Amino acid sequence: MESLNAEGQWIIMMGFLVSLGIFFLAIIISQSTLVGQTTAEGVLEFPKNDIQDLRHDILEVENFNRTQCPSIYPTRCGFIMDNITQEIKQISLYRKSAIVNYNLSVGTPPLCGSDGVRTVSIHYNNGVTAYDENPITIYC
Amino acid sequence: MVNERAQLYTMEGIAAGLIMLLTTYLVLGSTSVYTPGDTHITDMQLEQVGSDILRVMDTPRNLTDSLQPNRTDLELIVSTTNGNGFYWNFTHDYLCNPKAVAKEISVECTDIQINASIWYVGNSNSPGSYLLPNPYSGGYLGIGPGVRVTHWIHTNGKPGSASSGIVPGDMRNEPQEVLVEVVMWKA
Repeated sequence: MESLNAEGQWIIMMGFLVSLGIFFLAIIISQSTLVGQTTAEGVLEFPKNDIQDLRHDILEVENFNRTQCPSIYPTRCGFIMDNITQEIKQISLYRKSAIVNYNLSVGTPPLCGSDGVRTVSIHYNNGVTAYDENPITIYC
Repeated sequence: MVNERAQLYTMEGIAAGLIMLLTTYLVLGSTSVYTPGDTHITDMQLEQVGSDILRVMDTPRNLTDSLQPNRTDLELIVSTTNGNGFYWNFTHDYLCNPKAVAKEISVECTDIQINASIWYVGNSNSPGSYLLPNPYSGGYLGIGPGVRVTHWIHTNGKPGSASSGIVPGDMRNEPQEVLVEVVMWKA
């Protein structure tokens, strides 16, 4: 049997190393597309706008309940507030797939405690993200 | 037995390998592959722009105003069912405004179609909806995936309507919360 030619071993060795290098570069490049996708999906999944919007509206409901509801609708205010709660809960569940609840602290008009403070708590859960804010303090 | 010949060839091999590595790195680094997953990135921008526009439209014209009926442009539009006003406001004043256009958005604003509906809970205690009529649609087309942006609005009563039959009869005529839902997609 002819003996193995021992020349050019370094060249073969370096060729081997270079091919390994290219292989790892390819892995890194394929990872980068994956990272871009998961980042965008993560931002789409996280209901940042929903939570901010809900919070904004619930604080407006609190304002309505404190400043307008008892004076404009003296007899129906409780009924209207119950309906508003139902609207927020039902539409959130129906259109946003989110379970939402909120609670306004009760008291005699102007609905503030003796310390001039009213509290609002908000609960939000869409199955992926849960958000609880408890309590928001409102100085009135 | 390793002999001491061909060192120069070896060095040449190393140099050639480095050049090939560098070339591959530059070539692959200068191109990007647009995978189906990357469409999420433009969706994300569109959703953010849409949410921001709705939020700006729901900002009181006078920031010191206390709570009152029709305090914001969006509240006024919803309470009068002003479809023309909504679509003009949304696309012309914000989405396509050359002074305010979101530069990051990767599609031309005129390619974006929108459709808005209002969700409410009626007397029957179940959710219902109606469309804000869009005078500019001219027939909807679309190829891109859509995003849905929403905004809660406090209205002071049952919205009035320019033409009859838009606002459903079972809507309560008292203060209530309604959800403005805008679907945006690339035509």
